[in-house]
Amino acid sequence: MDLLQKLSLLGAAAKYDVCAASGCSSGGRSGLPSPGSGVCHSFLPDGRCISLFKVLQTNSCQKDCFYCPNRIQRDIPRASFTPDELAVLFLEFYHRNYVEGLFLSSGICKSPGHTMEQIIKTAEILRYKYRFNGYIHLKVVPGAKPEYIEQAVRLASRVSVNIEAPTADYLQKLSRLKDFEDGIINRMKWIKRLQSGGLLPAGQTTQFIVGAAGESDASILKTTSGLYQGIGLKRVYFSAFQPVAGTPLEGMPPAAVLREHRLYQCDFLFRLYGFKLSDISFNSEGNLPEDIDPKLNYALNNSHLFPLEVNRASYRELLKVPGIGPASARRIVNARKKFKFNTLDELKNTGVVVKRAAPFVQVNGRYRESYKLVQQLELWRDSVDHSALRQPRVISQGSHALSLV
Amino acid sequence: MHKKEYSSSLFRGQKALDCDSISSDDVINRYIQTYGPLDWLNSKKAGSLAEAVLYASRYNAPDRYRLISKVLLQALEYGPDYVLGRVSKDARNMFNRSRRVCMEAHRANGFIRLTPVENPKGSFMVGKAEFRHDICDLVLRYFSRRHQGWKIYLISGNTNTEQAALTGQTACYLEKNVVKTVPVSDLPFELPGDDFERLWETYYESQYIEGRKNLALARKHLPQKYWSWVPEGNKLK
Ligand code: SF4
Repeated sequence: MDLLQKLSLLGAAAKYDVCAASGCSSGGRSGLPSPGSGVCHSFLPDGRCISLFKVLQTNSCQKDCFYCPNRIQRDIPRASFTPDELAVLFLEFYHRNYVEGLFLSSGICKSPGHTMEQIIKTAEILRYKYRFNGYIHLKVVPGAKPEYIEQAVRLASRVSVNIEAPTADYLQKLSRLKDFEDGIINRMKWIKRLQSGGLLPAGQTTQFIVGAAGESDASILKTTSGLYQGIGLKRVYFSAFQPVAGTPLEGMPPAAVLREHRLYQCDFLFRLYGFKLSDISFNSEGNLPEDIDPKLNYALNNSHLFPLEVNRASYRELLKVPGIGPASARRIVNARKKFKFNTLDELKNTGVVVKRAAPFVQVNGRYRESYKLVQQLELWRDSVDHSALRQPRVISQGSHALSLV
Repeated sequence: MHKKEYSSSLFRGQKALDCDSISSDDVINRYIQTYGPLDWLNSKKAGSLAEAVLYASRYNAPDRYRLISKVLLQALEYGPDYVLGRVSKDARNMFNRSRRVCMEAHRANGFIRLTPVENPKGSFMVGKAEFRHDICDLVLRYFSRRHQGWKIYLISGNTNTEQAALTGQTACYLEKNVVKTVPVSDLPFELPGDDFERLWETYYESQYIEGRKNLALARKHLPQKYWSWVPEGNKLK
């Protein structure tokens, strides 16, 4: 198989890995203040950015994950990059400024140990032979031994073990051969211990496949919140399940991209807005309502806390107001030291989305009565075509574990 | 600077100014006389404001200095938090300009494609770019840091050799940290072609998920202006 064919096959096999990592750095190493994201090098027609060279070392795999196009039972062309081949190819992309870093994952070929050796060898060639000191994200395959994990942690900017499902029971519905506690959670804990001492500057992450095991949003978010608090993960990613032809889950409906989106909104509320799991409201099935964002839902369910006086509310309180984010809350709190807010326009200048915030705030004792909650609700409901987002198509090419960076 | 602002500024009545002869301590003392203690000038907040001013001063608009001077006067009058919080419309405008300049620089850092050339004269990387704001030095410095040991050249517009010769295009580069320009015909290398584009396009195509197609989002992040910079630009049409 020539290089072009391998690239096509092993690139496509990693395409569900969501590449937020380098795209979310604080301006990367450009020395510029970040306008909100890091260096993205291209955008796909599906709107996702390309910032990393995401690829599998091999798509040969001995596991049987029911959703995965690389599972052992599937009759597909298999290919592998040698560590040298992959390192050189990545550097060519990097030099031409097509990508900012490498995200390297792999099917489990022969054994977890052999797979980790190949991944580590590729990273070693980049770090030691070519002196590449940029961003490398290495996947730690489930069941990898401690010595391999230690090497990966020493070489990488970020490592991740895919959790896939929120509990052992749900994982059983996705794979007979993966072990939730020992193969995944324990590996995460080892990584956490190894992290001290300045290793892994971009931390440890993980990802869920959403909607493949019949799990609820509540169960995913409960585990997510536990991973942030207990293991100190840097990020948790979500990938809406898409059925792959020729796998046992081929007949399952795809998960709505909107569901993934709502989970990310909650994830942001946990990480940046000080929300707790108990602040999030779910429907009777334990899922997030599709037609309203979780922050607005919180405000509507806690109407006794509002309206807040913007000249007095604390930073934490301001963060609970729809339309006020961390940057505008900080600006309000700082500006108020020598200044009193009198108008909604002044709030707007600080970056507040007044249309959303007005029903929940008072400005210097005044409440804009014209902003009737019920009238405004229609404005807040997302103007996306929910039906389109609920119907992703079945795919025949796939990825390792539909993972995210 | 606007006439009215000039007449009320510290520099009124002077036809020309020699920057080297201005003492910043003197300037600060004169401001202290007018506005009272200005301890914040030594704080981090002054640094943030200076950074925003630096980028806003690169914004391509005839009133860029007028706006900056208005905002600085507001900072002196109401304190740094007032303008850093973008409470006034002017402050918001200035920070928006600063953000747009940064955004253009970020996009340039991401979307400019470089082609390596090595010959007995040295190791070079060449790319093409057209900037709306005054950011050429920022981008050149970024690439010089990213590719140490390589000399970076950025050519504006069409890099086709014949056309370049006809239209007298220039390339910019850094020499001792100062931006210089050179006619494309005088570059120390032949303009290279790059077969690597095919590998990139193969990879790019492999990443697309049809079930998530969202051209509007893609175009928002990679606006039409940049489509000619990247080989895959035509896929967003
Ligand atoms: S998800 Fe990973 S381990 Fe499971 S079959 Fe796919 S490549 Fe193998």
